Amino acid sequence: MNLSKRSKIALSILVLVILGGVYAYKVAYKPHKTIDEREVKFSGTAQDFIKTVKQDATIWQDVVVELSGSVTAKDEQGLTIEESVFCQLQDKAQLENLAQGQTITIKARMIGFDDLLEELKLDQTKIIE
Amino acid sequence: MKNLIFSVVLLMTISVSAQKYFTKTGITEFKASVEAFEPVEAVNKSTTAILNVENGDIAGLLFLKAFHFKVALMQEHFNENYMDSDKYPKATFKGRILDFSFDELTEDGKLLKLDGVLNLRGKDKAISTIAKLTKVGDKIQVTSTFSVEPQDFDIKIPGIVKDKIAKTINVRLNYELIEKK
Repeated sequence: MNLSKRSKIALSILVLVILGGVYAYKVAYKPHKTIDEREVKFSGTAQDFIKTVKQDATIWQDVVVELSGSVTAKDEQGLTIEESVFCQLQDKAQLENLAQGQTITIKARMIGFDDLLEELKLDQTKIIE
Repeated sequence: MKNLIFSVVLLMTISVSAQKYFTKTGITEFKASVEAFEPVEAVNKSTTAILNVENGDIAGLLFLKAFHFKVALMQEHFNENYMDSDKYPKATFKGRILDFSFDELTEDGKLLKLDGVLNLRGKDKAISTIAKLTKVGDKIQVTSTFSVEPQDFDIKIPGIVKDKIAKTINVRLNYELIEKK
């Protein structure tokens, strides 16, 4: 191609602007991180986790955890493990095959310690086992 | 005689222990959108609310990090720059539904005055609004709206985004309460 020096410069700037724009758009509209993409901060029994949270509830907020325990209640909205861990499910259909008393392992996002009801609140719950 | 006194005391304590309705998955939304700009709005589907059906006392609690925005980056900014959610993780509400009477609730809904105090970022703000209470089967549905302003809670909006965030923020609640046993 026989482009003048000026148009070559103009063309490169245009390409850079477009690339920059695409990059800025990607950063601004990046998708939400799923719980599988985030680091698991606690893995163990629900009972141990309850004890850990009660020591210092402030650090256990918006973190991904893996807990096991027995199902003590379930309703349309979610399930409760070991009486004081309330989990909202990502896919409510997973609730159907659950029975009270069953021991399960879940992966979820810990939202925080609900001091009105004195229980732990989790959402985006997935039943792994 | 002793037995009689015992039964009377027992009966009294039973009637004194207040009957409550509650939810753990109440929906709280807010909108601070300005037309022609990216909508600034989010929804929290994990709000806890407890209503004492004997006197109309109502208490609510939500975690700011459970607010979901469509745009992930906006959610990050909301928590980090505006709400300081690590330092102030919760928003709480304590109030009363005036002239509340459980027996007067109907399926068509009843409009009642709702007064209370919203605490956000450690700041209290008095809220006075109207709530609609509807009896849906054995549930009580509470819906309401009110508005707040960022400066009520010392939230500073930087100049560069000032035009893109509404001056008043509309909050909408929708809680379906079930009996607490």
